Amino acid sequence: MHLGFGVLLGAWIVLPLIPLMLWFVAGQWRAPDILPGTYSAQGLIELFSPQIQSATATSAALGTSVALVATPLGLLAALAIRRLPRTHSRFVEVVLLTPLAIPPFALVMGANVLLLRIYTPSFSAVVLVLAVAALPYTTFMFRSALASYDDRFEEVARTLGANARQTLAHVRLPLLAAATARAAFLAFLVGWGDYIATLLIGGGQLRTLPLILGSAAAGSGNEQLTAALSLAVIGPPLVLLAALSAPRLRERIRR
Amino acid sequence: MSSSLSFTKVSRNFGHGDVLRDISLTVPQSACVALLGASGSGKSTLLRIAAGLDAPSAGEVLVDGQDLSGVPAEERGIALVFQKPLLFPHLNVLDNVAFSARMSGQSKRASRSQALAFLNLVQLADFAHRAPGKLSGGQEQRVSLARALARNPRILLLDEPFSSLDSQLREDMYALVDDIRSQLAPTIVLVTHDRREASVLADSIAVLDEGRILQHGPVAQVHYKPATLAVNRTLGGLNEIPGHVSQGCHVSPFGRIPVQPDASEGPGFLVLRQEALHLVPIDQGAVNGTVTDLKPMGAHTLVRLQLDTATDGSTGSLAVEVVGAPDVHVGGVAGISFNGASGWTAPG
Repeated sequence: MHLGFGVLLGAWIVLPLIPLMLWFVAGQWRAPDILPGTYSAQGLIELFSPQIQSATATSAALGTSVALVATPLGLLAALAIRRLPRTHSRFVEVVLLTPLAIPPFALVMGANVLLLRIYTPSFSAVVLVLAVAALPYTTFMFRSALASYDDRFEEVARTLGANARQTLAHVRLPLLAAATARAAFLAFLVGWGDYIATLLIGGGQLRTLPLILGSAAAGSGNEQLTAALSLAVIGPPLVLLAALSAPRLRERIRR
Repeated sequence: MSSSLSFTKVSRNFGHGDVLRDISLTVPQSACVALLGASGSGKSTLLRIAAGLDAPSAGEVLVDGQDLSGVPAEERGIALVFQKPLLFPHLNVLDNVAFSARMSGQSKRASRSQALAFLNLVQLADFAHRAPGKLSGGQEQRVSLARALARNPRILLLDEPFSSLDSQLREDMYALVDDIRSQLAPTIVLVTHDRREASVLADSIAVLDEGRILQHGPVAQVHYKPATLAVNRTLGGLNEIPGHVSQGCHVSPFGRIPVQPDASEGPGFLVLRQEALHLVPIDQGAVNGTVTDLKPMGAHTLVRLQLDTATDGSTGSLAVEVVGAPDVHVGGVAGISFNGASGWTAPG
């Protein structure tokens, strides 16, 4: 029963990728053929073009910047929520969830006017807006980690001579390392895969992978390029996810 | 290097009431004092105040006569071992023990070398490179103790550190604490709710109840000369015979028993440890009683007896702890003798 659902779920995730992979390596693929008639490496070559390389770097910088801003803010928010009385903490949780409830387009349009008026550079403006969008994810990732966090680890450290800074560096942060990695990954995804905020607030100056993918899918008619860009957007997060999961998997296998 | 520790009129209020009230207690250098009390008696709060993890609402904590007010936990030189070992899961056993040396700025090599010596002390040097999660409960607590000792603390605080261990492991830990005391002579304050543990490990016991110290004294004193009935009960005393004190004697169905010279005249309870009483043939003891219950306690048996009604109509019951299985049965009559030179009374 469980295995059947697992297979179905796996198929649900993997099946849409199969046409993409086929288009990526297809030279010619005409209907009603089930498989491409010819194969070509043109898609792979396109990925190494300067334009796509630059877009990949911009997307990575955007994702990393959002992660760098939203992860520590999420930790601070989770710590604050933890210290507040329950009624107050519920209110703060609702406020932090608000970006998820508001349609992104409306949120971005409102923020755009404000950011234009205060002359915020486009990259920083996009990072700021996306950090707000990522904050619910990072906060709740830390919130669940802190729920099982034992403050007495820090008390023991203090009685062993660690000052506040050492306790933070040698006890709190290592103990929250897994949650930090998960939160940063989610925040990175928000920046890496964003389209609307980058388009509207970046005002066309920020050329990221999703933007190039969007224009390729809308107007080029070049399915091979579109497939290559789609895989370029999907690939790095999967690699990151595998890197994050590897230590835990190794530990489980060792046990 | 060990130090003396004193609490002077320490109180702690958490808003909903006093958790500690006017606590004054001195722990001499290299001594081991047990804080004994039920849950909620305030004993762990007192330990946290000593460690600098909590501040008193009033009063002072003194180490070698120096007031520690405002001194942060990390600068007090006081190490604390909790009931849970709380080994840092991201460090192996050796680095856990080396933690304090690393925090004080020593090199990794020097810290580890020193840590290994303390792991040797707790007989766990072979486990130095293991992850804490791969140790048994007893091993984890040994490492926790080694980690605290590696701090070279002036005072070692133990907050019910052995309560989650099984009885055999506890005995091992008691032997380890004895070893540590003979080798390092640290000043130890032990919090426990286990009167046997307090008696085995400590030089003196301070009995806490509802935030107050009811009595502090040597182990035998708190057992046999309790200041109050609450102390007697906390130390497991079962016999409190009502009567009155007159001319240096307690008068009750048990007879006329000489008591402490400074006992107040008037109503009072004769406190007799069940271990100090003996069953003897009828009419050969101070009083006769009818056996109402026999409770096996391993190598001992607890015999409960209803005392024969005295001439004045008063009566009472007594518990007697005897070695092995006594030659009595429920409903049978036996004599009860008291070997002590004098009894002890406590106010009601």
